[in-house]
Amino acid sequence: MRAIPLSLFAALCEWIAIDLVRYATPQGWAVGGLALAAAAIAAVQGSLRTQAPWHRASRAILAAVFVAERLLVSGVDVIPMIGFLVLVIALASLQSLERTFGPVFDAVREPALLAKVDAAAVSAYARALGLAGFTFAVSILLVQVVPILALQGRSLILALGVALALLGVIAWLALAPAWPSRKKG
Amino acid sequence: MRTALAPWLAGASGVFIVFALLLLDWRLVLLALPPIVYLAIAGMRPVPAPVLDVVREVSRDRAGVGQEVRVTLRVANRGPRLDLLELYDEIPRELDVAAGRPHVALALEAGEEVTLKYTVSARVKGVYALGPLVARNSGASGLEYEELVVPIRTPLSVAPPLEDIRRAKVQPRRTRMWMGQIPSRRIGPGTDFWGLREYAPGDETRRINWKASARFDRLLTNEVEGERSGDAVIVLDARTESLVGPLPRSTTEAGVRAALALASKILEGRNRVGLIVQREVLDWVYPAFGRKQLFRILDALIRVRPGGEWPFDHVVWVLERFFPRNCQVIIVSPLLDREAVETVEDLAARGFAITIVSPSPVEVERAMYADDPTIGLAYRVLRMERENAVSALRRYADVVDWDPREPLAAALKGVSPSPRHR
Repeated sequence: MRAIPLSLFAALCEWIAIDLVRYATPQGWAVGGLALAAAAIAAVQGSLRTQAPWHRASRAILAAVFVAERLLVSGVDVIPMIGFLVLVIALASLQSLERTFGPVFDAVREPALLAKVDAAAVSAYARALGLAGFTFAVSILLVQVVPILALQGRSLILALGVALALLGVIAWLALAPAWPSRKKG
Repeated sequence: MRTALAPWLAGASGVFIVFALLLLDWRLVLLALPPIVYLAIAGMRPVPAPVLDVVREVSRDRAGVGQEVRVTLRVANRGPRLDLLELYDEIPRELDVAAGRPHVALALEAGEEVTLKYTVSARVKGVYALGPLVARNSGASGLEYEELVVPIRTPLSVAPPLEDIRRAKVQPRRTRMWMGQIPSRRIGPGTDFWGLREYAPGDETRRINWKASARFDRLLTNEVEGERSGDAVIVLDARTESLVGPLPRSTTEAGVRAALALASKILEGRNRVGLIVQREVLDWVYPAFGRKQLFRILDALIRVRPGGEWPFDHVVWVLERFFPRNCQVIIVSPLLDREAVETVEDLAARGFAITIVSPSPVEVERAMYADDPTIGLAYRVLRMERENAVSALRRYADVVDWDPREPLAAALKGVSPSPRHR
C-alpha cells in the first residue's frame, strides 16, 4: 500500500536526477540534489506520520525542481513534461489513498473485513492510475489541438485572451462543485 | 466537496500561464493542460453522498476504569454503490482503543452491510458518549468527497475504582435512634456486654447471668450496649484550585476514589451517608441508607470534573441549612489553600465532628518528575510545610494524609472510631 506511491516518487526523482546528470553543471547537480533529498525526506515523513502537508511539500519540491531544471538547463519539451506532471498528479491521489488505507491495514485483523479493505484499496489504486492515464491521453490530444486553434494569429490581444480564458476555466473547475449526476427514471 | 488538491492544481495551471506570458513561451501554456484536464475529468463523475443506516451496540453501558467495553457498529448502505467509503466512529479522548480500530475504509455495494468491531477502555471515570459516526465517500482522484455525520450517540458511564477499606474504622461518632452497628454507650439492643441489673418479669431467660445470680443469690440480667446508626456527610473538594497532577492521577480523581470507598464503607454499617461536591456548581446528595444511596452517590461522583473558583466556606452554609445536625463531616480535600483550613476550623467551632482525608498534592507532584537534587530539595520543603498544616488541623479533626499511590486502607489505619482526646 505504501510501496506504490513511494516507488512512483523514487521513479520521478530518478527521472530528474538523470536529467541533471546529463545536462546540468556540478552546481546544478548540487542544488538539484539537495532539493531532491529534501523532497525525499518530506515524502518519507508524510508516509511515516500519515500527514498530508509533508506529502504536499514533497510533491511541490519535486515539481518545482523538474520545471526549473527544464526551463534553465535541458529546455522545454512538452510531451515528457506533460507526462511528468500527470505522474505528479497521480502521485498526489496515490498518496491520499495511502493515508486513507495505511492506518486501516495496520489495525484491521479480521480476515473478512481485511478482504473488503483489500479489494477497495486495489480498486481505488487502479481507478487513480486509470484516471491519470486518461488525463495523459486527453492532454496529449489537446496539445495537438490547442496550438492550431489558439495560435493562428500571433497578436498580443489574442494571446492574452487565450490566457485569461484558460484562467477562467481553471478558476471555475477549481471552485465550482462537482457536476450534478443525472437522475435515472 | 472539494479537497485541498483542487486549488493546488488550479494554482499550478495558473503559474504555468503566468510564466508563459512572462517568458513569452507558448509551450508553457500547454503545460497548464494536465491539471485542467484532471480537474475536468474528476468533476464529470460526481461522488455520491452516503445514505446509511447505522446501529451501534456496546457490551455494557456501565463499566469501571480500565474495564474493556466491546463496541459493534453495523452500517448498511441504503444508497448507491460507494467506491471508497471511510467510516470513523468518534470516541472521547479519555477512552483508549484496546483492540480493533474505530476507522475503516472499504467499498460498499447498494444494500450491503458491514460490521465494525472494536474495544475501548476508559482511563478516567466519567459519563461519555460514543459517536457520532462520520462517513466519507471519496473519489479515487483525491479531489472530491461527500461527508455524512450520523448523529448516533451511545452513552457510556465509567465508574471510579472502589478501594477495599473493609478493615478501616470509619464511622459516625454521634448516633441517632435507628438501629445500626455503632456502639452507642447507651443500653439497648446490641451484642456487647454493658452491665448487670435486677431481673424484671418479662426478661428473656437467655439474658439471665447465671454465674452472677449464683454469687449474689438473686436473679440478675445482662444488659448490652445498644448499637445504633449515625449520619455522615462526605464533602469533596473538586475546585480548580485543588487540582494537582494529570487528570487520571490527579488529587481530584484520588478524592473521588476516596469518597466512593468511604461512602460504601459507612453505608455498609447501616448509617446514612450524604455527599456534597464543590466544583463548578455545589451539588449534593441528601443522606439516606442502603445500596440505592450508594448508586446515587456513585452517579454524582461519576460526573465530578475539576472546576469552579468559588470559596470553600460555602460548604459550611449548605451543611448548616440542609444537612442534619451532629452528622460526621468527612472532608476529602488536598488542603492546598488557607481557605480550606479556615473552613475546617469554622466547622469544628460549630460543633461538627470532622475527619479529613487529604490526597497529598506533594506526593502526586513528586511522582510526575524524575529524581533530581533540586526537585528533591523542593519536595522536602513542601513536605515540611504540609506536615505543619496537617499538625495544625489535628487540633480540630482526625487528619489522614494519604499518598494516592498507596492503598487508602493503609492510610486509614490510624483513624479511630472514638473521639480523640485533645
